[in-house]
Amino acid sequence: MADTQKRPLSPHLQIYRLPLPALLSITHRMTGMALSVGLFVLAAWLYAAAFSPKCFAKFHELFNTGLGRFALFGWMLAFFYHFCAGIRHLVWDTGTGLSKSAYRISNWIVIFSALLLTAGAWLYARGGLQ
Amino acid sequence: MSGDNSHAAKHWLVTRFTSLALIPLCLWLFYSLAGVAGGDQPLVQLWLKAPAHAGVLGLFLLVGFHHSASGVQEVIEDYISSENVKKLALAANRLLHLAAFGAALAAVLSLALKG
Ligand code: HEM
Repeated sequence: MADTQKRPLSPHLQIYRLPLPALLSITHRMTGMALSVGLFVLAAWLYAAAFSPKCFAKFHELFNTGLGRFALFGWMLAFFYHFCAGIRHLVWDTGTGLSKSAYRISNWIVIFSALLLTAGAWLYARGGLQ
Repeated sequence: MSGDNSHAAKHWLVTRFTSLALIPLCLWLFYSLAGVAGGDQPLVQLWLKAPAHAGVLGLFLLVGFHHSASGVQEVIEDYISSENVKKLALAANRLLHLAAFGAALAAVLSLALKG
């Protein structure tokens, strides 16, 4: 009995927490994919504006529903996260900020600036900061 | 995986350059869209009437679609192991990005030049 308790346990997925840097790295990838989808939506929106008034009206209507606003907000958050984490990537490429203590700080800088920029941009877009 | 290092190095460089260029371009796009996204079609047209706006948007589309295609390509290369499926996915990725870029660019030109 005592032996079984000493066996290594496989990670318990509902308890196991991904280390923060790994979580942020996969988030950069997921937000990148979300932005790619957003880019296609932007292309479709432009296409509708130029060539299909009916389709453009549909876009307009969709963006003004709760779900549409939620999607726009999500893209904005994804953008600012990808933006901040992307800039950190570029800084890393110069060989700067690669120590463990620098990681610990930059993780939180990325998270907080992404949240702050999203909040600011959302207020601005809704006319709150103009 | 193919051992083709020059391809990987070029891919890496392209991602860095497009990322750098996208920093100002994306900020400009968000700022501009905040002004027109809620508006009707004539407002979008008015926005793109200015050659500078249409030009920068065209530039954004070029760089953005390039970065997006190259980023999705990296994800495909990482996660799809079957060579055949990978080839198909890579071709589809390129084709879709090219088609959407072409459509968007045609739209911008049409809006900018329309009477
Ligand atoms: C049109 C907007 C954008 C789209 C659609 C987009 C999309 C993507 C995608 C799909 C990836 C691949 C993810 C991966 O391989 O893990 C990626 C990677 C990357 N993006 Fe973006 N992105 C955009 C804007 C930006 C901006 C503004 C920056 C600014 C710094 C940026 C920086 C990067 C970097 C550095 C990588 C490479 C990450 C790595 O090597 O692991 N991106 N992007």
